Amino acid sequence: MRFENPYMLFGLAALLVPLVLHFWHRRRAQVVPFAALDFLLQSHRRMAQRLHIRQWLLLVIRCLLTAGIPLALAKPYLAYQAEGPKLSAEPTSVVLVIDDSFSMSYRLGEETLLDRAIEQARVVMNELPPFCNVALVTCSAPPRTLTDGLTFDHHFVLKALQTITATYRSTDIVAAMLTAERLLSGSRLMHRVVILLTDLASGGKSDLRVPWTTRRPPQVQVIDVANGRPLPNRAIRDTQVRLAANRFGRAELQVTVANFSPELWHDLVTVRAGGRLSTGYLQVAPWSTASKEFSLDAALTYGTVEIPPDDLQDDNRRAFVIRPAADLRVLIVNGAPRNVQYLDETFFVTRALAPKSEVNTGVALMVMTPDQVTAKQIQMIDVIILANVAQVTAELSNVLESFVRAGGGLLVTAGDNFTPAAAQAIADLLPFSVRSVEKVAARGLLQAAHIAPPLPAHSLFEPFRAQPDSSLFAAEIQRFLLLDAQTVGNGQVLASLTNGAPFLAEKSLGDGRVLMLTTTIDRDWTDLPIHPAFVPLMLNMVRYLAVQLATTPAQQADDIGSTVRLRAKRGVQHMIVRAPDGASQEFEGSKLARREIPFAKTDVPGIYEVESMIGKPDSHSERTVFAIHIDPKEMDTTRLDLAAVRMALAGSPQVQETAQDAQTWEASEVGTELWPWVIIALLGLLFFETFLFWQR
Amino acid sequence: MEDTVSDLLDADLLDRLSHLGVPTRAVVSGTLSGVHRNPQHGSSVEFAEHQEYAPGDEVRRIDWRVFGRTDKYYVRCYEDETNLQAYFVLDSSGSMAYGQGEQNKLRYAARLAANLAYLLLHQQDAVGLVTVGATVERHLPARARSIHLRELCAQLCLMKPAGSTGLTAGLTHVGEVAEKYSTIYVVSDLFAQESQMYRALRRLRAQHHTVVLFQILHPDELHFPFRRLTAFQSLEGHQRVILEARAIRTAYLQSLQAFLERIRLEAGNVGITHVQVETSQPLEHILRTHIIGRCGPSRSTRRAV
Repeated sequence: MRFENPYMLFGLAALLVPLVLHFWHRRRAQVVPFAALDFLLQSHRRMAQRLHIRQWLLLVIRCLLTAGIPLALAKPYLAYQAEGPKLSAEPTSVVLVIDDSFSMSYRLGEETLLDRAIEQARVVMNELPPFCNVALVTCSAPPRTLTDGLTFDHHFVLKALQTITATYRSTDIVAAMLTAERLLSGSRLMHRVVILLTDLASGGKSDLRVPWTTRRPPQVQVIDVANGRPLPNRAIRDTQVRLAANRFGRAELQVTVANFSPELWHDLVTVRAGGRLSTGYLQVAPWSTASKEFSLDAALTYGTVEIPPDDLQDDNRRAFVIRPAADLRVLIVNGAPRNVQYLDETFFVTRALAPKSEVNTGVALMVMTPDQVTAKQIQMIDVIILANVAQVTAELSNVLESFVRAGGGLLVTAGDNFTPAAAQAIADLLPFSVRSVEKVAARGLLQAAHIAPPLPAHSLFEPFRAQPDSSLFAAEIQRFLLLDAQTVGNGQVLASLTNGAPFLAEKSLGDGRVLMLTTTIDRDWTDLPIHPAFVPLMLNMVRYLAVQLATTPAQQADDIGSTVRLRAKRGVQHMIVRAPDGASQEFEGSKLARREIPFAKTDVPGIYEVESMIGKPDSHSERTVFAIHIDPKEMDTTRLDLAAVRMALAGSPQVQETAQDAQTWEASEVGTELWPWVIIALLGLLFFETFLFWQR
Repeated sequence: MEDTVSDLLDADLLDRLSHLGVPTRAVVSGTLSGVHRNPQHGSSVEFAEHQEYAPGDEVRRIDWRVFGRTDKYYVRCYEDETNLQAYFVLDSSGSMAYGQGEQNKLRYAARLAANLAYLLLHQQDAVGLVTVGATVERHLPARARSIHLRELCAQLCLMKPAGSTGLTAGLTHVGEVAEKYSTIYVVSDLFAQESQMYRALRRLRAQHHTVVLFQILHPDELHFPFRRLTAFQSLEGHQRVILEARAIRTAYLQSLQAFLERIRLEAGNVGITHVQVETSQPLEHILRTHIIGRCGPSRSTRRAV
């Protein structure tokens, strides 16, 4: 037993007072001569024992009464190593904040950190007096309140605890603290406490200072559910997929592995895609990252990369998207068909987009002449390439305009047939009007025009930006269309030639896009088609026009909890999104009218399949995929200092002072105050003494 | 006692009571003619009553007229008035010293004896006195002269309460000195050895004495008003006991009541008049109530046994 005010124990000397009074009182007893003493003696003999006991009992009670007062003032308490944080014995409002972020899935032995947090929260609840009200908040972003505010129904809170499961989300302690503060602001009880049960994984958190909004922020108690133990972890932090610039039909996968431990990690990295397995050995130094590259078939849709599992398993496996979409339907309108294949306008582009080898670029080609193109035929087309078309009829122009406005993509390429006059017929479609056809003076590397580096940050040029010596820049352009860049409109130049003339221009029209290439896609005006860069350039242009590439560098993946904007293709009336855990969400009808659907149910990492149906649900459908990844910050299980966290979360200097002593869960010392019981016992003794004294 | 003779006698009281005699239904044996009946049925001129003939009765007393009427033998009894011989046995032990002023037990007993002696002498009864402390201290033979009262009161004034109670010795002594059929007034608190005292009283009754017990008690003894821790000091010795008076009161009163009940029972069994006197009561009340009109045993026997 310990005492809060031990100096009060000096008052125990008052114990002597009743003793002294007892013996002094006896000496001062009034002497009365009495005749019938024999009767007194008879009675005394009969009652001697009883009187003796009563006398001593009174003396003992009086001694206890005089000793009890200084004892109560000394405020005794029973100290014991209790599980759980220190809580006042007075009415208190408590908000339990449970960290259910991804890092809490870390496994320590047979249980996860979240299991431990829930169990420790249950212990807190069991030790909480019934006159304390409680609220339950989870810590992953965004914070959720699992109770209807503060409640005295502890049973309900215990049941709500059972519903907490680990998420893949990241931690947002600051938001959780503000949520707790808001809940506590409505409390009328004197004490307000927030108990945070977390693993103290840094998760990239650098600033935990809470911008408390009240003048008297609640007391914050932080419980380290890991009990100070380190949480070593290795994780696949990132995957990057890009089409190989110099290898047609191949994609490059870069896998980055992070090592959040003090030991060197080295093991195999395994890539699975298209039923094929690739492995590579990787060595990662302590507290650092390392990357490994793999070459994949660019025709594959998606794959997964794995490293051997550890105590936090879900970040040891990551999905990635190679080719998100199904086959693009591309219609090439051949404006200069030739009997000799290699002289045909579409000879090179058809082989770039749909080679006959086993390489699948995901493009389905159709080639037609201008007179064959009808509105009905282009219903299922995603992209139309007007390749050196001499004359576009008004009807065809209208069809094309409707096509583009409805979301289709149009690529217009130059040629001998595509004169400025021919361009005038579709001037409304073009980014800029065509002024003239320019010819570079002579052949030769120093004389020909080239595509000017550096290329802008555009998804079209993603494969080339990291390669300054790409063959794209080696291509010679002898002739090109000179565009009137002063044309009023929303056209923009995406790339230029070394002489400053536009090389590639873009225009948005309705829901679709128009690209204009100022040179040919055959060898009439340029040798670009014979350069390796031609293939990825054409593929990217087609994909861009098919709205499969964002305007910013390719991002067919996002983090848990983010909202993915799905682009429904033209004519899609029904769309189903299937999550990796089997859950699905359907969109149809008017929801798809905007052709960009926000999808926010990204709670599970992995590959999400999007099935788009044009027309009724049972009609022809296409599948696209996107990947959702765990926030890399949550993979960082480097532990923060408990005392520093407490200091950061403390809302007042007084609380900061109490946060100085670093405590773990098991070392928590609490005390059961005994002084109320001492007071009650004293009152009982007083009542008993009075009864005993007046008893006849 | 520091009182004088005049302090013991209450003139106004005696004035009010002197016209009343001190009658007694007890049979009296005296040599002089007095106001009391003689238990010996002799040749007195006054017919008293008929009693059935029993072997031993004088044949000449048989009333033949009654026999002729009833065919049963009855003897004639006559009454002869004689005078009373009374003895006062006063307890002057230490226990009689309790009380202050008029409520002092010994003073009260002395006043009771003095005034009653006056009344007895007034009706020409002989009055004697025995004072008893631890032993018999004084013996004043019974005399009927009025001047005897002065001597009696002087003896009463000389009493000093001390020592243990030797009442039994006093009763035994008075039984030896008193003539037959005397009236013995025992004035004491009766805080004595009970069994011996009861034996002595029985002996007195066997000697055909009329015994009247005046048990003099102080209100404190009867009601025990003490509440605090008190050191009770014995009046007849050096014994002292410190008691929580409040705690012991109930048991004391129970003991006292049991003692008083035993005395009443014993007195009733042997035909003794027991009068419990509280010193807070007026003396006149005691004299009127218990002496004049109601005094006497339940039924006295006329034959000597």
